Amino acid sequence: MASNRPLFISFSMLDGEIKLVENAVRGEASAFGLLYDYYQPKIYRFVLIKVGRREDAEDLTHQVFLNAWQNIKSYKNLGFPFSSWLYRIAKNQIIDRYRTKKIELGLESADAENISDPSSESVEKNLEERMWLEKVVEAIRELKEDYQEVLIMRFIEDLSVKETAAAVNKSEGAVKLMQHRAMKELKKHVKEKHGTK
Amino acid sequence: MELNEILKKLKNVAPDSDYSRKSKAIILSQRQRQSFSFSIKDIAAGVFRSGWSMALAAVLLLLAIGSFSALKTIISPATTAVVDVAGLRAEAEVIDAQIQLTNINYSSLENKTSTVRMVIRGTKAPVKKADTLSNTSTTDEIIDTALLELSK
Repeated sequence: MASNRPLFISFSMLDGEIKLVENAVRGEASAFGLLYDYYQPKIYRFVLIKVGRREDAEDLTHQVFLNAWQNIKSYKNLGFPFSSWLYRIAKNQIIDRYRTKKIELGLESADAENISDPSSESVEKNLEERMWLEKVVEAIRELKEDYQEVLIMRFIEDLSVKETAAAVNKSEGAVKLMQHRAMKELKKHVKEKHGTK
Repeated sequence: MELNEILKKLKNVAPDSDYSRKSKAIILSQRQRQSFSFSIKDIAAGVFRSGWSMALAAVLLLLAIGSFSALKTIISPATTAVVDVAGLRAEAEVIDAQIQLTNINYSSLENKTSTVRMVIRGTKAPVKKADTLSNTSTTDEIIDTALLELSK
């Protein structure tokens, strides 16, 4: 008998993700734990690039996964990967945080100390690389929210166009267009403020 | 450095492992919220279903009422065509008139027979009652009998 499960296979999906999500929906903590291990670094990066401060990123990422776990029974598999649901929660969490706490994040807060991986010696040691990371992150944060999200998902997290479209709630065509414009804008910002290579 | 390369380098950003471990433990120790089955979608589906039932009931009711009306219109012309009410009434009146004429004949005959009987009573044996005559004979026979008696 043919299964009516949506056949959505992506390289950014976790192996056996559909089964894991089904088990998590049934309340199996270990299944959700595996989903957490796989998606938490991705969501953390997404949040950190957008908010700029490590503490805020940690707090928000925690809230994202807490909300996901508490509300996973309402999750419906509509053919999109689980990550698109998590990205949506993350987006809403960031919006809520900005609205309630009225955080005014200056560009200074997005420094390379916060962005760079503390465990990565290559990043830590290479001063030039750190400087460029800082500049690019600053430039990303100057972009429109939609452009930021598309850039992070497409170029940092390697999500497919379809996955990105599901996460930002836009059509695939719109995502391709946004991706093109976002990249163009990003290059322009980097050139204007920091010179170019 | 190329912009794409720098973006790829950002993939190395990772959360603190100690923070991740603690966060995960806290999250998984929390209880899940129960999802309620009566979402807006479910309510809409229920309303739609009950609406369908009501619509079906209304259609059946209309069909029942309509069939009565249809039967009335289908059957009435047939009855009026087959049954001639005026004719029936005329026939009924004729029957009634015949009955009345018969009664008159009978009454007049009874009077005659009474007279005959009175004549006979004066001369001969007691006369039979008229009602016994009427029970046993037809009107013609009675008249014939009466005439025979008179001719004697």
